[in-house]
Amino acid sequence: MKTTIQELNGTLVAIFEGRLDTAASVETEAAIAPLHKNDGKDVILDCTKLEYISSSGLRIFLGLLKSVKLKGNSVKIKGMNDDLRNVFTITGFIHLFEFIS
Amino acid sequence: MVLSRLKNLLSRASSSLYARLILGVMLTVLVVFIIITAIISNVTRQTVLSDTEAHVKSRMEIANRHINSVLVGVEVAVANTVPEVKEQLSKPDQLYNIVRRLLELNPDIIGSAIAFEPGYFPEKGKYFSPYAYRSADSTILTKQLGTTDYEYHDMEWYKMPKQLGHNHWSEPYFDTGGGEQLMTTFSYPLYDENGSMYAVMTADVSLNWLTALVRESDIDFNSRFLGYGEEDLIQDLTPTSEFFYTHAYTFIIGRTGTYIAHPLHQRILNDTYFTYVEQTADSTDNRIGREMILGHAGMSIINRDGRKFMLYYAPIERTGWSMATVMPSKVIIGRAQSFSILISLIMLGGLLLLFLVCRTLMRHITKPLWLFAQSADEIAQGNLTVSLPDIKTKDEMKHLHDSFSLMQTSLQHQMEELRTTTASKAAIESELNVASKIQRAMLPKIYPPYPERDDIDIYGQLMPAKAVGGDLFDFYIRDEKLFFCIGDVSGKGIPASLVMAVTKALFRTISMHEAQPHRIIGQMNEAMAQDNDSNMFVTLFVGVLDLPTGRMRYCNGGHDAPILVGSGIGKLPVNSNLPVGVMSGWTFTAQETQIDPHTVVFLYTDGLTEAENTAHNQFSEDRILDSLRSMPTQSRQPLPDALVARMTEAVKHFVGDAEQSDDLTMLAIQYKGRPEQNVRLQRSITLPNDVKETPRIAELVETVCETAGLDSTSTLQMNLAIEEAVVNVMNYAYPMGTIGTVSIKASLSDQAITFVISDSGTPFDPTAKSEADTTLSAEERPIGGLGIHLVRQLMDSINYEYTDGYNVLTLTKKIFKH
Repeated sequence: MKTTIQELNGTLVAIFEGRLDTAASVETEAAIAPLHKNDGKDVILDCTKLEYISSSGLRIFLGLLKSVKLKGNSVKIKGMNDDLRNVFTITGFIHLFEFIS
Repeated sequence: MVLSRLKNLLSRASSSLYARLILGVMLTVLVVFIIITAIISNVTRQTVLSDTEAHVKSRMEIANRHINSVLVGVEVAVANTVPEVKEQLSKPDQLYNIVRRLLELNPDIIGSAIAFEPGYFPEKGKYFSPYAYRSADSTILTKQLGTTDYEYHDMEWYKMPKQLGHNHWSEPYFDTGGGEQLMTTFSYPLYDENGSMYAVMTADVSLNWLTALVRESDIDFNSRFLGYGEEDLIQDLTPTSEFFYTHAYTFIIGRTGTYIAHPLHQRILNDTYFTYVEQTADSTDNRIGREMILGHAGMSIINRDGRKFMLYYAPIERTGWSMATVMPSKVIIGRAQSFSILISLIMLGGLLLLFLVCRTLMRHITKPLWLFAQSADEIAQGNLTVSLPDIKTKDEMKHLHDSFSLMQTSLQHQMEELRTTTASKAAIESELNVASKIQRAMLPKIYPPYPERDDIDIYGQLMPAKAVGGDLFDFYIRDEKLFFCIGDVSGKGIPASLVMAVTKALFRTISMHEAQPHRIIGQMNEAMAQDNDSNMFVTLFVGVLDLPTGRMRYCNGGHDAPILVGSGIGKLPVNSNLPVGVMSGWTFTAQETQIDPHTVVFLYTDGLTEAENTAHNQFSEDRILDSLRSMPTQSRQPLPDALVARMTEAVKHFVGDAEQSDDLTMLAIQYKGRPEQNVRLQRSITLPNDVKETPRIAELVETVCETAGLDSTSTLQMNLAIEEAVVNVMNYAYPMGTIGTVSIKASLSDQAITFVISDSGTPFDPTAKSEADTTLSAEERPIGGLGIHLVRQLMDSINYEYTDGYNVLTLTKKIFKH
């Protein structure tokens, strides 16, 4: 699991690659910690190369959403494949996030 | 016709007041009328009879006097002539003048003779009897009567006074000498100074006037008393004439009974009274005859040819004759009767008038009643505002009118109240109906409930005693476990149904997170015992049947023990626990048993055991067992619906016509077991209690999915489900810092992929977790609770069992062959 954070046009973009399973969740949570601290910027989670996500991963996404929304900014998910989208659907998370391509 | 009218009147009398009144009045008057008529008839009859008698007597007296006046006249005339005769004895021829003058002076005397003793005048020979008589042209002639051809000394008229020594009237006779008339002769003996008789002086008197006298009297009587005309009596009579039966007539008989006067002239002197009476059987006639001859007076009723006659008789002085008047009784009484009939007719007329007056009056009086009855009919048909008859009088009718009016008003009020009450009652009833529907809807009602499953079959039935009842049963499958219960709330009706609804809701709510029956019941008990002011409670049996294994855990809260119908028939052993809701804090004990495939668990409420027949015998447990045992052997392990149907039939047959007194509920659950599966692949791994090891799960899942030929999406989903389940176990079965292992066994059959995740950690039922709410907003959603939700969503079934110190979680995914 590889997590990269970039800033593009005032928007923070987190790029996930590989499997975000329970085992990888602790590492990933630490990797996106800067996103919690950065004020006044919208966040895009680029999941184009994300292969797998467990409930631990979903919890990380939810935690991030809560803290960003608290500051009045948005969290968008980009390029998620259908299998993962299905998981978002099952859990109802599809209603919480905004999806972009 | 009169009879039918009378019947009609009587029948109306029973139905109509005025007819009854009229009938009463008329009957009373009729009785009085009959009595009066009878009295008047009787009095009239008596009056007529005495009147008639008096009249007849006076008539007879008149006739008597008339006769006597003639006879006395003759006697006096003769007596006055006697001194003259004595003076002229010296000149016998002068005696002719004497008798001639006697005739001239007395028109009644038609002949007179002075008959001397034989040879009294020697110069005149043996016979000397100067005689004067009236010729056919009424001139008076004289002649000497005595000759050898007419030996008068031997004649009765001569011998009788001579022998008797006093004057004598002869019996009447017909004068054959010349007049051809009825006569009688008065003989007067003459005596000389020595007292020896020397002559008899006679005077012949015609009695023709006697018949006329009697006739005139009869005509007068008949016309005055019997209403006959004069001409009726001037007719030629024969002894058999109807005249004698219809008219009054008078006859006179002489001293020997010879008729002297009689309407039938031929009888005069020819017949005696006795000639005829001796032919009749009636001795009265003989007696009357004798009485008359003896000169008595009297009255008798005589019977002639079946008809009655009244006969008055009285003697005629001086002559020894007797006079009788005969009157047909019928004619006399007929006068009285006609008078009575007249009275009756007048009375009847009065009666009719009374009837008409009564009828009109009564009709008038009772008409308001009739109108009131009509009003009452109208009111009875619901027309409460009908107008009442207008009463102008201030009598009882006015009172009735006021009462009716009051009744109308009061009825209107009551109807209004009744309408309100009925409406509210209808509302309650309709609410009760709704309540009953809601209650029924609470019960499972689609059978078979799990047509897609081949391991379980269930049939339940509740027959309520009232619209809403206190019995309940429920079942549902969660995580490959059948949760079921049956219960009976104390009491009946609405209160029981409310408790029933609460009980069922509690069962569902609590069993949603709790798979242990004793804990389900325990929690229900705590909820229901609190604030249980009405002291309602439920006998409840709760069972949880693990479908993969057939293990049944159960807890009985004071309910009837279920019956197992399998290879044998017997009651399930149950601990004695309190019913639910009785006492807070009660510890319910759990029991468990293994249900063999095809065994039926038969549950029921006491409505079955206590079903009573008309003789108040109860159906009882023994009859339940008998019914189950008597089932045909081929259906020894019957389908639940067949078993319930059979029991229903048995109890209905037993109860007969008796009313169902309690709810009757039956629930039959058949566990059919699971067929052996053909395992194609089996893999297993054991992980230490560390989430870092979880990526190894992916290897296992991928191997199995590949063998099963699943696509990448399905593989990803299965991987996610197993990982979530295992992470869950690691987090909860082994609290922080605890060391342990989790083993994962995957098996692939033709139908499904099964993962069995087991650990020896703290007993933990992940299925008891409440479902995550996926509709909440980001702010509201909790961070946890997603894992088990994902497992449920991604797998087809999840089943948890704690067995032999191990938590065993079984996840199944069905696979479909393409």
